Amino acid sequence: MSNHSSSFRSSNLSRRDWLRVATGTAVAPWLAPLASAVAASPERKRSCILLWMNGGPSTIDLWDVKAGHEHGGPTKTIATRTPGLELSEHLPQLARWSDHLAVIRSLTTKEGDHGRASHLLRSGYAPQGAIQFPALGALVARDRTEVVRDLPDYVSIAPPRGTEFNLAGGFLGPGFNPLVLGQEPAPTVDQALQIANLRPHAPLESAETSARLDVLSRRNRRFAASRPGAVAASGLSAVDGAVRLMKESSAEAFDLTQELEGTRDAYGRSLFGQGVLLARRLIERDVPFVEVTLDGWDTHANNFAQVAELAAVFDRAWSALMQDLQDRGRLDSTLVVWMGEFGRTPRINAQTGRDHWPQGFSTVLAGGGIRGGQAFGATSPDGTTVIDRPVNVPDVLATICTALGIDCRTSHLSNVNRPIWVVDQSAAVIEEVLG
Amino acid sequence: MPSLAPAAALPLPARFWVCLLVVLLGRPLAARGEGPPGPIGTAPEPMTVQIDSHFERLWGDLKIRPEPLSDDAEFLRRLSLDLIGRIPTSAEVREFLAAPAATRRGVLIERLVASPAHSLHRANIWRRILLPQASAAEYAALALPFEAWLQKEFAQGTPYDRLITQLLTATHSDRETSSAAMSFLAVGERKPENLAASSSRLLLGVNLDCAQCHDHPFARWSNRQFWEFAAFFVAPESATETATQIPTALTIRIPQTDQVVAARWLSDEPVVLPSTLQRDTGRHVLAAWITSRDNPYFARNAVNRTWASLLGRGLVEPLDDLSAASRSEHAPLLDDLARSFAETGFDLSRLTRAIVTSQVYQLSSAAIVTRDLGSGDTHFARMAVRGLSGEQLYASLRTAAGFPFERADPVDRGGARERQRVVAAFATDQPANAQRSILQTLELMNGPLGREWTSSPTVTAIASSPFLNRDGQLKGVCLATLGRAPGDEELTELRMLVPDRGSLSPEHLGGVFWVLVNSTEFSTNH
Repeated sequence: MSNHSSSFRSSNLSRRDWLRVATGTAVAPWLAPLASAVAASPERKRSCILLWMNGGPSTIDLWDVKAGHEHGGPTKTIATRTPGLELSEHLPQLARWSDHLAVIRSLTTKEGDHGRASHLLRSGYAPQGAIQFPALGALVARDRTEVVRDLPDYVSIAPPRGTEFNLAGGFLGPGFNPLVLGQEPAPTVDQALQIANLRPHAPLESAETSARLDVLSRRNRRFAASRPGAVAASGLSAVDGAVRLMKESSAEAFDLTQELEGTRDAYGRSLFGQGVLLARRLIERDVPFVEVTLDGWDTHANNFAQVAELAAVFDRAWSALMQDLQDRGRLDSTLVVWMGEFGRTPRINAQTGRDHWPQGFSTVLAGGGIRGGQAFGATSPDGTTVIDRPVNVPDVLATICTALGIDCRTSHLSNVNRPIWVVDQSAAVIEEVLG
Repeated sequence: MPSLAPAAALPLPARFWVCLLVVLLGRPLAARGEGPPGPIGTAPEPMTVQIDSHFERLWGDLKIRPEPLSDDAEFLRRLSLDLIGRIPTSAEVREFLAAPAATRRGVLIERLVASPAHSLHRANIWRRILLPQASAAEYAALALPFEAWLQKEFAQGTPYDRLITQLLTATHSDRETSSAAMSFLAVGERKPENLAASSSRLLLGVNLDCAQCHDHPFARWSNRQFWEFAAFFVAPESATETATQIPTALTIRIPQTDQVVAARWLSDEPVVLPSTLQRDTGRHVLAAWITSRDNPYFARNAVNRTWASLLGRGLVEPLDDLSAASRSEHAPLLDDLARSFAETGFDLSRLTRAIVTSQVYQLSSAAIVTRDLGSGDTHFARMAVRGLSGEQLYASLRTAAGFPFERADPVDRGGARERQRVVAAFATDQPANAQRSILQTLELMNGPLGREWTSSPTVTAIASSPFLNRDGQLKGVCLATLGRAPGDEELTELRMLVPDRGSLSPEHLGGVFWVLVNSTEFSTNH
C-alpha cells in the first residue's frame, strides 16, 4: 500500500491487457509446420468434453479386452456397429456409437504414480521442478480469449479433492483456473452440482450494486497492477468471473431442472451422469472446455465387479451425450475425450485386483474432428506390451489440440521465464484418428 | 519517488497519514527511523544481524535494489496477521501510530510475540505443518485438540526440540501430553513406513517418499535406507512371536523381498540400542537423534518452515525436501540460522522475533524498484503477497466487523460451526500461491457472512457517531477493514458509493464495508 498514488495512474490496464502481460504469448516462427493441416480458422474451433477416469481405469477390461487369455479375467467382448471392432461387454450402449469412436490402444508412459501420471496426462508434461504447467482445460481456455464470455471458459465437475494443482491454470495465470463444481459432498446430486451463493444480496442490475462492483473491480485492478503475481491476480480475475456468473443468463445454464425428466434419466442420476448432462448444457452455450470426473478406478482389489459398476455409469451417460449432441447438431463441433492417468496390470493379483500399469493402455477420442470406427495401435495378446504404433501422451494431446483447432506450435512464457510449448515439441499428431 | 535505502524520505502514503494524524491525534508523523528498529534497550539479536547481512551481501552481488520498508500501517497489519492471525482493530492502528516512531515497531514485536494470541496462532501454523492430514475431513476432528496441546506448550515456552520429542515418544499412559500428541502417530496408522515418511519429511525436510518403493531418482536416498529408517518405528514385542525371545535389534523386512534390515540413521553414526528393547525404544532413540543439536537437518527444517510461515516461501524450496539446499543462494543463511537456533535452545519465539525484526521481513510488497524481477524468484527483495488462511480470514472479518475476535481456547464452542465452514472453504496449502477461486469469491460476496455487515458493531458505531462527517465515516470504515486511512483519490472513489450530503446510514456504510472486505487488499497479507 505504499504506492497508492502511482498505482492510480496505471489503473487503465484491462483484463485482456493484463493477461497478455502476464502470459507473454509468443509464436515461434522458426518451427516448421506440423505435417497435419492445422485449420486455425475460428469456425473450425471445437469445444471439448473430457471424461476423466480418476484412479487409473482398467482399460484392459473396457477397450482392449484379452478374452480367452488368463490376463483377460472373466471379461467378455461384444461386437459393435463397426465390423472388426470389439469392445467390452460392459459397454453395450457405446457399442452402438462405435462409428464415432477412435480407440487408441497403444498409449505408453513411464509414470506409475497417481500424482505424477495425472500431471502428465492432464498437462502433457511430467512434473519438472518449479514449472507450473497448465492443465489441458486451461490451455484451451487460453486459446479462446478473443471473446469474453459470461460463463467460465473452463469448468471442472466433481474433481476429487487435492487435485487442484493438476487442474489449474499454472503459469498461464489464475484467470485460467477452472470453475469447480460437485466437489463438496451434498445430500443430493442436484445440490452437489449447484453453485452456492450465486444470488447477490441486492439485485445485480441496481445502480447501487453496479457502482459497488465497479469500485471493487477498480481497487482489485490497481492492487494486482502494483503487486505482480498469482495471488493478487487471482483476486481480480475471481471477482470479475464471479460477477459475470451471477447474471441471470449464466445462472440458468447450471439449472438442470430445465431439462426433461426423461433426458435426465437417460444420463443416469449419478453425479457423473448429471455432470455430463451439465457439460452438454455448458458447451451448448459455447463454453470451450468442460471436464467431468468419474472417480473410483484404483481397483487394486476386487477389480472386475468395480469395473462393471463404473463402466455402466459412463456407458450410459456418454451414449446419452452422443445422442443429444447428434440430435442438436453439435456432434461435429464437440470433441469428447475419455482418459485416466494409466491402465492396470494385465496380470491379475491375489486380491482379484489389478495394479498400476502405464506401459500400455487405452484412451478414446470421439465426435468432432475424429475419424471414428477404428482402433489405433495394439498391445500384445497378453496385454503387457505395445506391439503396434506406440504413442505417448504429447502425441495424444497434440491430436486433441489439432482436433480443437489449437495451434500446437504456440508457446507461452512460463513462471520460470522460459517459453513452454502448448504441447512438447517431440509430439507427433496421430493423423489416422483425425477426421 | 520511492528510493532504495531504508532511511529514505517519507514514502508516498505518509501524506495520508500526516493528514489523518493531524486530525485524529493532533501530532505530526515523525520521520521513520534508520532501518528496522530492534527491541528497545537491547543489543541487536545475532540472528537478525545474520539475516540482514546475508541479504545485503546477496542483493549487492546480484545488483538488486530491494523495495523500501513498508510503512507503519502496512507493517502493523502484516505483523498482526503473521503473529496473532488477524488484522488489527481501528483502536490498535491509532495506538500504534501514536507511539514513539523510533521504537514502535520493536515494542510491538515484543508485545505480540509474548501474547497469548501468538501461542494460539503459532499452534495453528504448526498443526498444519505437523498434522497436515487434519486439514482433510477424515482427520479433521484431531485438529483442534492438537492445536490446544501445541498452544499450551508454546505458552509455557517449551523448546522446539522437547516438543518434537513428546510428539515422537507419546504413549497412551502419558496423561501430560494427552491423546493430542498421539495424533501424529495415529494419522500414520502406527505403520513404520508411514511414520518414517512423515517424520523425515516434516521434521527433517528429507523426502524419503519415493525411496519407499524405489531408489530416489534425484537425491541420495535408497530404498534400503528408507526401510532402515522405518525400522525405528517397529514395536519389537509384536515382531516376536514368543515371550521367551528377548528382542535385541530393531529390524524390518522390506516388502516383497527377503531382505531384513536393521534400524539405521540417515547418517553413518552408529546406532546404540539398550540391551533389552521395549515397545517404544526405537521411537525414543530416534527422537534423541532427530532432535540432537548435531543433527544437520532438524534445526534447518524448523528454521526454513518458520521462515516460510512469515515470508511466504522457504529460504530453500520445496520445504519437504532440503536435499538441494546446498545449491540455494540462501544456503549459508539457513546454516547460520539453524546453528544459532540450536545453540540458543530451539527457542521458536526468539527465532520469530529475529526474523520479523529483520529488514527483509519489513520490506514493502509493492513492486516499484523490483518490477523487472517479475513475479518469480525475487530473492526476497520485496515482500510476497500471501493469501490468508481460512483461520486468518475468519478472524479478520470478525475483527473488521467489530465482533469479539479472540478465542479463549482453540476448542471454541460459540460460532464454531461458522468458523469451521469458512476455514474449510478458504483452506490454503501454500499462502504465497493461494489463488482465490470464483466459488470462494461468491461465498464472501453473497454468502451468509455478507448479510451481517450493515448491522455489525463497526458500522453501527460509525453510523451513529455524532462527531464524524461523511468523510470521517468513510475513513472509519477504511481504518476498520484495511487498517489504514484512504488516500485522497481513494476517498473520492468511495464517495461515489454514498449520497452527496448528510450523515451516512448503516446501509450505505455497509455497502462500503462490503466493497472493502471483498477487495484483494483485504483478503491477502501484503
